[in-house]
Amino acid sequence: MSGDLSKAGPPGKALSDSRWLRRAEQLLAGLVGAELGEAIIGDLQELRPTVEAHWGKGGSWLWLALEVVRGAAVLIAQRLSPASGRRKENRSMDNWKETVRRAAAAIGLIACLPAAVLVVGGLLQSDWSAPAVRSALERTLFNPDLVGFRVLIHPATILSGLLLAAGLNLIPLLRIGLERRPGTLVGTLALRIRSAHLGVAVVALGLLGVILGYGFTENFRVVPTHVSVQVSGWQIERDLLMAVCEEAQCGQR
Amino acid sequence: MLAVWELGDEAYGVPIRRQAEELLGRRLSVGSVYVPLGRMVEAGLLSAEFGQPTAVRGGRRKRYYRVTPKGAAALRETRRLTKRIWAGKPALLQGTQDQRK
Repeated sequence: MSGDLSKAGPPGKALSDSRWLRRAEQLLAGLVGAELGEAIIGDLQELRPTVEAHWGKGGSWLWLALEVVRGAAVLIAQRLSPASGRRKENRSMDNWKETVRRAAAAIGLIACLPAAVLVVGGLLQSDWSAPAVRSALERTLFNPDLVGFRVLIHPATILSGLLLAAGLNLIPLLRIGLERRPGTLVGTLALRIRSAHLGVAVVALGLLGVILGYGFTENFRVVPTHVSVQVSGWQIERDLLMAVCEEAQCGQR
Repeated sequence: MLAVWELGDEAYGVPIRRQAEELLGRRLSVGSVYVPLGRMVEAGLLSAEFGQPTAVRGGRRKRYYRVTPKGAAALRETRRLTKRIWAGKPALLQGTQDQRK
């Protein structure tokens, strides 16, 4: 194959790239791989002077941005389409690039940290722990005056982190398919064993189970029918009050 | 695939896209060109390889496509089938079948 070698530049080095163009290339590389991302951005870069001649420099950059967005949308749609899944089923059960999968596992692990901190902190604060540890935790992690820790162990942070971690790591593991066959609709669920994703997903779901279980057992109590009544500063239990009232009524009779 | 065949040694993204736009009569995005090309490479109908980096492309390489023997056989078969299907059929005039009558 003959290439346009007359104006060859150094391999892989962009000569007149903006930072934005490199970001666009990284985005496409994440979707279709580094090599295809390079080819697509190279094509756009090659066509840009022609567009610039008609629309000016600003117009050409706008065109390039729109082309990247359109291209990314087409590539994402192609990857998400059920037809794409069926085509690639025999080759690979998921189509995330290795770098994207690694990033998903790392983000998932980081997103689990607040929940892990809460669970470990909660365990260390129990009675069997050393008083110094409990005191240190009360001064730091469980100190309501420290905003950073308050945000870290806020239920919204913890639950959203765990759901994010589980979601990101279940996607490369699971493939759900729906196929219309004559007279019926067939659903399929396939699981691929990938240790990193499986590990993070298990940790996230385990922590979620521990936290929800703890929340349930702590808040689930049998409420006694026994009612206390506050009368001018005195706490009188209902049964006693009833007994006193009955006695008083009997006395009156 | 026909565009790749026609372009020969100069079959890379930009001319392929231009050729496909002419054939189809509509504008295509970059992604919509590379998606079918990728599928044809996966199917073994096309082969792909990189050229040298060029300054006009900001130091990026062209991805050249070439029709493989399997792809050429598929093209021949498509042409043969199309000819066979249309052989002996009355010419299509503009408009509907009713208008032909």
